[in-house]
Amino acid sequence: MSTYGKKYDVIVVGAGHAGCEAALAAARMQAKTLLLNLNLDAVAQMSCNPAIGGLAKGHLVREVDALGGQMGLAIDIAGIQFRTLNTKKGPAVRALRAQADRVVYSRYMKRIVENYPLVDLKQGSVKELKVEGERVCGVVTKDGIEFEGNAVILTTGTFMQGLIHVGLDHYAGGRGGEPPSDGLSDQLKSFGLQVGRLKTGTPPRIYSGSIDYTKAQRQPGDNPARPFSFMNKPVVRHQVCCYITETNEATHEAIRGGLDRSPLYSGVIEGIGPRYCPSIEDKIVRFPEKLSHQVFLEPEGLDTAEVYPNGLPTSLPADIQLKFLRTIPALANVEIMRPGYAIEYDYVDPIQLRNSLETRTVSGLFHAGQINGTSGYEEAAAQGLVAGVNAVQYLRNSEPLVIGRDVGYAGVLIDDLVSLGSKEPYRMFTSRAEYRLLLREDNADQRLTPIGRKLGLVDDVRWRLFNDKMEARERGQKKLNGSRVRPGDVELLKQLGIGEMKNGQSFAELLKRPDISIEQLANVDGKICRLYSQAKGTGRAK
Amino acid sequence: MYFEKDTIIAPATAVGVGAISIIRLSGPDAYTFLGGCFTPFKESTILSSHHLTYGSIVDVEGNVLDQVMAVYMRAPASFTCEDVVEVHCHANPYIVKHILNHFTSMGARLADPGEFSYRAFMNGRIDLSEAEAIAELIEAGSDTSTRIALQHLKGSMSAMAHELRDQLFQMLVLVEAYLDFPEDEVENVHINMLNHSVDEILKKVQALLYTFHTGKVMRDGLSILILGKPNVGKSSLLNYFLGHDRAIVTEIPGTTRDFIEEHITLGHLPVKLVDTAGLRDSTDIVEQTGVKQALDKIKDVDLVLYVVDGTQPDIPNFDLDEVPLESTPYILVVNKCDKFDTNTLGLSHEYVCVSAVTGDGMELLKDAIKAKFTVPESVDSSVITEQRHYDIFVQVKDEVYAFKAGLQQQLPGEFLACHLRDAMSSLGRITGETVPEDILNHIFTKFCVGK
Repeated sequence: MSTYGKKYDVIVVGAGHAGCEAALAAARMQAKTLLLNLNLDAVAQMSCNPAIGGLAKGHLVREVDALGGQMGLAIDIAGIQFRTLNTKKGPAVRALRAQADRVVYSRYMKRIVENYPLVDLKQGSVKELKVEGERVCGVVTKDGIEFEGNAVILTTGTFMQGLIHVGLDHYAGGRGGEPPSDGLSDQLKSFGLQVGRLKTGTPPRIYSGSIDYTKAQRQPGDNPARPFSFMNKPVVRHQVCCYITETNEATHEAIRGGLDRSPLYSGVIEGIGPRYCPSIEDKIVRFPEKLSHQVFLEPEGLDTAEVYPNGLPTSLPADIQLKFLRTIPALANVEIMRPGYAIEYDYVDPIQLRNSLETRTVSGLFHAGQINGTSGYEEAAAQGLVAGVNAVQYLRNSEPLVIGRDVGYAGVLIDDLVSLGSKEPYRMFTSRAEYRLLLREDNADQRLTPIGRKLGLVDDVRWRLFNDKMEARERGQKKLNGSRVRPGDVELLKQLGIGEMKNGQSFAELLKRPDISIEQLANVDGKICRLYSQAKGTGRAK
Repeated sequence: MYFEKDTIIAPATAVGVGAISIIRLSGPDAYTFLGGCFTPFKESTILSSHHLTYGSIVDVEGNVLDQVMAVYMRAPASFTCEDVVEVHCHANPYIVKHILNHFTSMGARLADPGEFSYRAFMNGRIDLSEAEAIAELIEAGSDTSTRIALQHLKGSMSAMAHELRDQLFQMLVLVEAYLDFPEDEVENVHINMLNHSVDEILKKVQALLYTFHTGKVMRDGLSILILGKPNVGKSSLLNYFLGHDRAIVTEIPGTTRDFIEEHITLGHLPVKLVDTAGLRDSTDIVEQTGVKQALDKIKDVDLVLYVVDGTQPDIPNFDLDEVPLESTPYILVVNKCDKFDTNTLGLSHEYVCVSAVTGDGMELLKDAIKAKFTVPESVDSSVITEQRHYDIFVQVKDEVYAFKAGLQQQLPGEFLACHLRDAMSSLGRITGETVPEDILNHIFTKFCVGK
């Protein structure tokens, strides 16, 4: 057994969205951290959808950012189209979503982790954990390298016993084009952990040059683009368009014609898939009355011709994939570059974890991301960050970071996982949060940055900007409480669109009316306007 | 149910998350089964009857299922008179399930409902009335004011609560689907369907709330206070209703000083009649107290029979406003109609003429009382009888109204959802809680969402 002769505090297995945040959080808390990945050319891969954010997921990214995490900064750099969703609904359920350039995202994240002080990024496929008594003490890779570490975070994604299905053909793989990780889940079973099987799927990637965009509907981004990170300002930037098209009866006919060779319907796939991200064949079987399903054509980057047809995950045979795609007018001559596939993988029911994400059976062993039966980059990142923090807290014998359900979606996520377990890939939804009205994207910093600062996750620059905002906010509140409108202020009332007023009211009281917005008050009062833009961050000097 | 001599198993505590769950086994193999999977922490420990022992439950593969306290109660010194084993484990439903599964894999059979009590009865540990008392005790714990006579009513009330809950649930699903998926996946049209449902729910809740008074009357009976000045014939009226002389009747004003309660049945209505001291200023301290008590009772009763003497010359000037009736319903009863000409009575109020001596007009009075309370003879619709349920439905009504107002003001969906969630959580005290997973499950069944 060889070793590089270095002892680590924290070893993170897997450098995906969970693993990167875990390693960075641990290092920010001064832990000597090793980040291992199967393949160093695939750090922070977007294995499926080339996008970050979305409803409730945008919230999670904001929370990761508020805790000093990397995901928000990464997507602000790698984003190629930004949109705010749910703008017609209330502030609590509005969320940001951005298309990403997958390669830029991955390269950015690799650059951050490999250069981060205290983080060693190394290639290695972990086949075994080293355990002394009931404590973890290191890992062994397939190459026979042994690493010592007092806490280990497993973020194995879809790699443990990964099995890829395209039609009735299947082969071992952790992701399209990559090998699986064998052996680890057997060892986890030997610790008494219950290991289950889940399934997820991805659509074929198609060649941009073969798409007739004139037959699809353009979907541009918002300009200026609102950033994910508290550290960035909205900017006008070059953005790409996505396109919307849809399936039709002929598509459905072609899909039905291939169901006999579907691993999903022939019983080959045993793992449970996510219902909110069903394969196209599943949608057609379960909702036969629906004559058409939307398809979003999303570019995978600026420097690639690959396009991700969102809405069409499938594990049908490749010939059927091509056949049904070509029934869609915009895709009549489409070329598939990579076929869609389903993947089955091992996960460990998170009901066996403490609320710190540490396993109950092995001290110092933490799980984050898809190994916990979740889906989504954002869910993974949030768990990764918390696991990273708690691995360090474990080593320090300190209280773990447990985010309340009323403090963050990250808290709702972990509490749900460890108290209810997961039977299908878990995705965050706003309806899971009983304190939904409190958990807005725009107050993630207020909810979490002070916590992050205490833990050592938030650097001085962010902390100063945060305090500037809070100060502006407080001054703004004082001003709102101090400014009054009287029944005689006819001109002002007219500007605010208020008909009649019996008693005078402070601006703060006025704001409680559903028809009065802070923007309106900012319009009639210069000082409020300044304080508002300062508190909102738009006037932030950088 | 057959009386088998095998070994049965069941959780003895409610399923759900709590600190501790108790799993109970009864039968000849209970001890053997426990020995097969229980490892005491102190190796030297021997399980002695009626002593709790700390250890772990281990499955065939050697996995520890949980750390538990186990107790063995040797027959016949147990509830069932059989060998009984109790395993006190952590109240995680999964742990309970695993332990149950482990015992059943060894040969224990899941008990039928009530089978432990059944065995206790069959083995002579308890008699039937005790068995019933156990059932009653368990029932009373979940719903203290359950009365056998009202069982069928309560059944239908809870069915109504479930119906309302389901309707609210469907509405919430629409709102949540709209919130949790972007505009291009779940359209706004769904939310527009809510206006219709909300009116339907309000109508139902209103109707249900309306039954509360009737329901209470059916449970407690209708209480009627007989009120009036001294010597107008209040006690004679009571005696007539009773069919015998209960109250002392004399010519002397102020004969009744205390109040007298008697129960009669009026058609299907159980009625409690309360005769009181006549209302007048008296120097007699006993009589004064009686008068005060009579006035205090007004707010507690369902109906006041205010009796006046039709032979008195000042009848046309009679003013009922002098009596502090507040909002209690009343009937003005003009007594002694055998002694005056009923046609010349110049009263401006609505009234019923009776003679408590001859019985004239008494049937009219009974009809007038019944008319005040429309009680269905056989109850097949839902009726609320309990204050607790009434309060719950009032909360539901308030939240649904707030929801409706919010809809009209076009408040954002997440505020609307709050009202629906609060209404459902109120109803949850009858129907059981609704968890977010239920809502999501339904969204996925109803909508083709997700990319």
